[in-house]
Amino acid sequence: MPRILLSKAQPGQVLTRPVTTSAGVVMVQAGSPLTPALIERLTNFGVDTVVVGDDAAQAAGDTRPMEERVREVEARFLGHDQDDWMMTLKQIVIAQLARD
Amino acid sequence: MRDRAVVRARVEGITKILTIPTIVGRITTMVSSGTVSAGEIADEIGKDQILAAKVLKLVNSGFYGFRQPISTITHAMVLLGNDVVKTLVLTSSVLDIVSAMNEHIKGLWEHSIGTARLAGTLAQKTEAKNPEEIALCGLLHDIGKVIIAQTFPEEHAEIRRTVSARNCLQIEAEQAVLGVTHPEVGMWLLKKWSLPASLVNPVAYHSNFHPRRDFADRTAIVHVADILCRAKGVGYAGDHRIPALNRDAWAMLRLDMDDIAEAMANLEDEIRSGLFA
Repeated sequence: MPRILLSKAQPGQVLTRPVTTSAGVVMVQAGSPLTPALIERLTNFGVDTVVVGDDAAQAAGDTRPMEERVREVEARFLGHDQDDWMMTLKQIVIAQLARD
Repeated sequence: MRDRAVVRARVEGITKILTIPTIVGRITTMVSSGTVSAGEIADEIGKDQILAAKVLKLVNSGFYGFRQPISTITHAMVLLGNDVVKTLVLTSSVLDIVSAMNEHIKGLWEHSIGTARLAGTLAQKTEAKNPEEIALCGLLHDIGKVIIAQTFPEEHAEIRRTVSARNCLQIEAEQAVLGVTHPEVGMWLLKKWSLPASLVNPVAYHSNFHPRRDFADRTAIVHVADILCRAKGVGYAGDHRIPALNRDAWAMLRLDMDDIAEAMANLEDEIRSGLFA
């Protein structure tokens, strides 16, 4: 996920970090694809650099196979098998993985 | 195992030991003196652009849910109260700057922000007073881990080895290696900073909840938020386990699992919209 000069950014690249003002207010969200119009607007805004990746999957974060991510969640809950509350929580976490 | 008094004395001397920017030292002194006005502190923070930007970013990151962006430290102080902003400055400096310097506690900043955000959401759901202060307690809750890593590097290495050998919670390894744990270490530091019990207690007791202590309601929120943040796998709290839920803490919140699912989904959305960027 390199940070590059906005002048080197190409349409089709995807922002992997949001573009924020100096006060930290998000102007453009992570995951947005760069278009010629967006690059022009950011340039007009005085933005110097952006962080980009090559595709939307990378911008969305975790790209590992679902099975592997579920196994990692299972491992986190080690020792809580007898705890109904914890097991419900685990189901919530796994359900939200699938939402990605 | 170390002598507790020796450990405590070293923790309390932390502002001297930590090589954090002088501005943080100056603000710490201003806060402890209790005689400096909010405006003076805002001016001092404003001198450090990076620090001011960090604080404003936290304030604006959905952390406190203001509709309008807040662009100055003074404005933040008016809206959030001086204590919240002062503590935000101290916490974000220590947590963020130190965890950037110390690769062994990488991920603790994200864990702290995630817990803060969840604590804020739970505070709103339980209609607790001062949700912004409760979020701040979430941000602070593991500050003792930073202090241990920075003040006791050899013991911290041993703690990390113990965690990975036993796959235990970091707090268990701290007890075994150091004889004191991060909530206690955090409490010592925050008391040294002269922060009120409303901020100190949730930090001191988030892993050892009792419903009869002062500020048990917000301690319960931080306890649950910490568990949720670990369950979600946001950041890294120093181990790969989740502490057990304290039933009394959960009962105190009067929430159900739908509320929990909502809070977790909110966190996910905020991460995507750049909470950690």
